[in-house]
Amino acid sequence: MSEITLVSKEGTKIQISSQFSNLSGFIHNILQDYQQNEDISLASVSFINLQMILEYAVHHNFQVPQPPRCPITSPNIADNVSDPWDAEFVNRLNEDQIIDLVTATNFLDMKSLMDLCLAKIACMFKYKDIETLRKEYGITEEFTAEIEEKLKSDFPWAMEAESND
Amino acid sequence: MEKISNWVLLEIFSYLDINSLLESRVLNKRFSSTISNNSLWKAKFSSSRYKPSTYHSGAYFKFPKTSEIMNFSCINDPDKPPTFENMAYYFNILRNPQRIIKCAHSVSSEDYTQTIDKVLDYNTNEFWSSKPYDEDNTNEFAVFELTGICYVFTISFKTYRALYQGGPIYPPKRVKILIGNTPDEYFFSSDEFDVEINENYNTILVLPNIVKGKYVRIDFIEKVTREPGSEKYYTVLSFVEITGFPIEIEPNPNSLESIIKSENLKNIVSRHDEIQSPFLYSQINSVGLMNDFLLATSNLSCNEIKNYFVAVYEQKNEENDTKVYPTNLTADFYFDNKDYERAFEHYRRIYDFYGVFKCFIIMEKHTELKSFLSQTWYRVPNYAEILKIARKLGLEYEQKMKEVLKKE
Repeated sequence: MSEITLVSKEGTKIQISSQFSNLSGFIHNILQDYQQNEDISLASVSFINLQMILEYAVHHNFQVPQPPRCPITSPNIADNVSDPWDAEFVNRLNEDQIIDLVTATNFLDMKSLMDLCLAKIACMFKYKDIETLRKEYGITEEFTAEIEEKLKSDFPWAMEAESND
Repeated sequence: MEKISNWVLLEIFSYLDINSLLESRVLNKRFSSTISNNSLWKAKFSSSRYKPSTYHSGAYFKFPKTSEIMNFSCINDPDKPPTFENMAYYFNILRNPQRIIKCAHSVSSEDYTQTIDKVLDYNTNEFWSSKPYDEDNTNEFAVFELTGICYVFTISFKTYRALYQGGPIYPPKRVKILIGNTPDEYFFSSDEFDVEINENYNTILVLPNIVKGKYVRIDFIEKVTREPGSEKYYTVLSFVEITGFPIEIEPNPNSLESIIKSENLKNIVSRHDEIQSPFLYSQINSVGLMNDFLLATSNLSCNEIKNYFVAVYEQKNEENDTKVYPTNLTADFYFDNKDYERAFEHYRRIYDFYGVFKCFIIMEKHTELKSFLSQTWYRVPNYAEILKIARKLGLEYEQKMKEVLKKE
């Protein structure tokens, strides 16, 4: 089993199995014409993110796991993923860290982890009313009252509380 | 929130269901424009991330939950590309189903007085009957004209119970739906569905296929019941209804909502004299769209609504100084409330043998069950069907029935 060397934004080197190419389209393309002992530079991925990505890859044994449920059905991420470890993994992170991780996984073309992060953010929106969301994310009201009323009356049923069945 | 770039926002939205999305539109301008963006809806259709719907082409013999229909990944209409406006249009028409039959067009056979237009009026006791046949493998059809070109959602029908003959019902064995723009040519054809032998509404769902047409043809395939005395086979229907939405009318999302909000459930029900057959009741009973809708808006559970109807019904009959007329509704009501003796009595009186056997199994009256099996004048559940009924009641009942039937 050959190993490859990844170099983070800060210049730190990490050794990892070449099976990582199963999860990352970027690495997969590079390995097409890769020479032994060559360093792979990841200019957009910080060391912290790279560590997390490797932790995720090692846990899943370099195999693509089942994607999260789409559309999500519960505000709790654990109900939407098949592996409870995935839920614990993203629940450790705060919102900024998740968004950083999304950017890093996008650079690495690592769809499985990106989907997990996106589903986690979607869970933050689910079952929250507009006032709570505005408060939580510091969104100042941009619409005038009339426009807001019109937007609401377009789909009156969408504003009703959703049943949990 | 400002840190999230637009493409990430689009990706996040693809994980949200429609209700959450439409609600988030009100949040701010950026959300509103991202959600109204057609690329989001196009992506929702083509994305491999979206699981393909469990519903495929053809029609279905039951009504799914509204939330299932509203899962837009399963709506497919070749004429309308998946844009926000088109999706919004569908959501609004799906929320406002209407009765769309204009008149009966033609029928394979009918009696001089028992014509096909009798099935359009639910307030009368009249019915349509086919001609008598010696064989049960004869087919019938009925063609209905709609109010202009319409989107067709559901087709429901109810078989007639001839109380004056001792209560037999005359359903077809199977049923099939055809939809077209002329009465002679049809471009949509459903699968064939088995018809339940009871008085419930049999509902065939055309959704999530978006099918437009002016004529609906219902094929009634083969027959089940012989008339006592003449020993001839008939197909007899008491009511047919087709729900959908006319293509020319602009949907008004607030119409039904406002009705429900302005009047409570009790008022809506009391407006209809005939509790057994009004359009609304039939919708509550068998059309899931309305059912879900009422449940969502009235804050009552399904059982509470059912109990309410039974209570209203019983009250009404006591006033008239008659006994409670047995229906599937009353029988199911007693069964749900574990009054099995009464449930059995009601099932027996309406000749619902599935219900009768259900009661036998749960009351463990195995000798009576066997005696019913030997009769030949009416179709009763066979061995496999009995096991199926028992399985629905619980695994221990299935085990017991297997032992009982093995001894035969």
